[in-house]
Amino acid sequence: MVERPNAGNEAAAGQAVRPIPLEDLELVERVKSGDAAAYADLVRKYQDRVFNTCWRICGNLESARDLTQDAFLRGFENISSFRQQSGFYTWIFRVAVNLALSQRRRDSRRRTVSLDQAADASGTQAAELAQRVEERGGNDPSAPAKAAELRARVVRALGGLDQDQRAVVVLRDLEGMNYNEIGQILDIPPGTVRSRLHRARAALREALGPTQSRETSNG
Amino acid sequence: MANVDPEQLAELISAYLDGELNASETELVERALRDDPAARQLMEELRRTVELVSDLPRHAAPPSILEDVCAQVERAELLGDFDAPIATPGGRRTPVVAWLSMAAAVAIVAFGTVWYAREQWSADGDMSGSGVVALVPTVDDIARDRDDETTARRQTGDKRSEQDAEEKTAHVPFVVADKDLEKSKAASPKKRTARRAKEESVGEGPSKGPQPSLGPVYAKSETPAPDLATIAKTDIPVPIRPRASAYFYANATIDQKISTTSVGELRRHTFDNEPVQLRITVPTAARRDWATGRLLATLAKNEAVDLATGESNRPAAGLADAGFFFHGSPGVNFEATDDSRVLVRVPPETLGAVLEEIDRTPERRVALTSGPATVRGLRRIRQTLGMEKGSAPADEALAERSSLKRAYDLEGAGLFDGLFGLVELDPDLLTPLAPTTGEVAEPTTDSEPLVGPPAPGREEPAAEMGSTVEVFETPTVARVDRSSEDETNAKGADAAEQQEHRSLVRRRLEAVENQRQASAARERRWAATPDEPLDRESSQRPVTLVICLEVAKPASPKPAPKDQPKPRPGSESSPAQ
Repeated sequence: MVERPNAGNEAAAGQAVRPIPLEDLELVERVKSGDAAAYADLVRKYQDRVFNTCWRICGNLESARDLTQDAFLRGFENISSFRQQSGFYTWIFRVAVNLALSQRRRDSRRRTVSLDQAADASGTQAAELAQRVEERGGNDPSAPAKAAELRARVVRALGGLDQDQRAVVVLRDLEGMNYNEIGQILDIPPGTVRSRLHRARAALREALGPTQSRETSNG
Repeated sequence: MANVDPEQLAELISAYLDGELNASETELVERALRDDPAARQLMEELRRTVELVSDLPRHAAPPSILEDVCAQVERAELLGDFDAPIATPGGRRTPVVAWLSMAAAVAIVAFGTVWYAREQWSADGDMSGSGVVALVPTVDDIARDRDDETTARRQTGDKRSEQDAEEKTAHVPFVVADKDLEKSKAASPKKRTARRAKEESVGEGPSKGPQPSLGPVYAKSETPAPDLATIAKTDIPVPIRPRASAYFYANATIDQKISTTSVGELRRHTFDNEPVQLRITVPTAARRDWATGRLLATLAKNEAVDLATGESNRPAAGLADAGFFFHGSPGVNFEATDDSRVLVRVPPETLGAVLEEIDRTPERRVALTSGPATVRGLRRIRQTLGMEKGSAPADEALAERSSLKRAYDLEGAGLFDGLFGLVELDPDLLTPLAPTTGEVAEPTTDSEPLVGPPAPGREEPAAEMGSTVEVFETPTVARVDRSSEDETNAKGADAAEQQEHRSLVRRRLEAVENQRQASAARERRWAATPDEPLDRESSQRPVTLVICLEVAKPASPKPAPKDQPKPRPGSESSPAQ
């Protein structure tokens, strides 16, 4: 019997529509009516997710910081044109992802993006990962180092994807968005999301193949 | 299964992991997974891949994101334009940034203009403004300046400048070498602060060269506002300029802080023709700079400030016609502006526009410092204060001047009343005089007071308010205590300190007597000549009229009578008893 994956999407085939939080609706209306302080609440609510998405797309913490700030500022700048047909969350992600992808394109024209940067950045999280491994019951003293190495490989593999694939993977696997939301953000149909995600995962699987097999054998 | 391409199956499995398949696709995949080990292997590897990616750690967003976004949003809000483009972190200059840059440029231009104007004024030795009491040079400053100038001239061999310096020293009203005075100075941290502020304002350290004027830099926050109590207690004529000056202080105590005056309340006040000095509370130095730029831009936009000349364009009217000259052009008072306050002098006709700007700020707190107004000529200030002494007019011209004098008196009273009208003082809130003021008035009886009693029949502007009018004129200090009958307020003051202070004032008055006599002789010669035009160039004796409102906390409740000793703590319920 195949266990049905719990992916968090109950509707099928990209038809899922996440309800727009009422709180967001209210906050946006307040901002539109002149209460700029309400925008701070929106920023506070979504900045972590936007920041992490930008980070994983551009692979650089500093750039992610600028991109996140830029996204929220542009969001505020254009709040009057936001008609709340989608959630603020989707809308601001669209701004942020587009900014991140644009920057990535600009960077790629100038130089090859250093994936070591991303690896270095992720290396700062070794302790966190070690703790996670610890919580999973691993008593191997080398587990933290192995976990850090594995994560670095994942980051490198992610960086090896083309930017469109990377954006889809980040939004789906890191951010947990459904295909419909991803399609809205990237302005592509859900079917394209699905195929793009498939190719991205296939590339990742290939890049992580040895790791996976080792992990699988260890596990 | 046979109909499904392996690549397509892999895509379906990927979507299956995400729960993004419809029913038929789900069934198809599940059948494949049951029947095909390779499909199961593929799904496990994909599941593991997804897991690895989703397990990547997350960072909390740097706090600076929220701070910076909020700051930019706040700025846009202050501009009152929510659609205004905003500066982006990538350094892109959007229209708002460009606008702010323009405002900054305007501020810089105005800054320089005001600086230039102040330089010109300082060349005449007359510099009034809010905080002038705290910022004018002390005797030590002048002496030090002179030493420095002399040293510099010796090095350069500039004979003419040396002569000028001698003249400058001769104009110094008095220099008293008195240990008690030095001691008194040592006990006056505010004056040290003022001196520091002055030194810093010219961008030089204490040991640097001469500082003939106050530069247009922001004073530090520690620069004290005029503190009448301190002035009364210490070596008095703080504003020692090589010109005669008379300071007219109105001291009132109210239980309402003016700094909480709202813009709406401010609009309801009438200002007649008096330029209003507003103190705008700002939270940060950055906001101060922003506010400064906005205010200057507003003034320039309303033609209140001609940035080319620094002169006000407002037409002469009202008090100006009556002979008053309001010192200082409209604009930002940079000397009295610190990290938390912006002081701006606004002509009445521009007040509405400036209040509109202030209304855009989140603080919306303004304080009125009002004034200062300057009248030119010692006679003018005396006329204004109703203290002109003289015989009956001997001819029509003199009669006309006398009539004009009365007009001045009325205007002076109106000015004063208008000042209090700004904050709609409730007379019941006014408290009696501070004890020190009543005490220091006594030594003036030892010598002829320079400022005489009010003219008979003249309505005293402040008497009914129970406030104090102090008139300082260098070199001689005289005070008229309009409410000195209220001597009971001296109770509770330190008698020894008062006695010491009294003797200090007496010695000072003796020390300056000779110079005062010389000044009186010049005064007689000047009085024998017709009234001079009141323009700056021809006025030989500029006199500054500074009106200050001092806001203090309400008087503390009266202590319990001594014949009702307080019960000792625990005396009634002590278990020991």
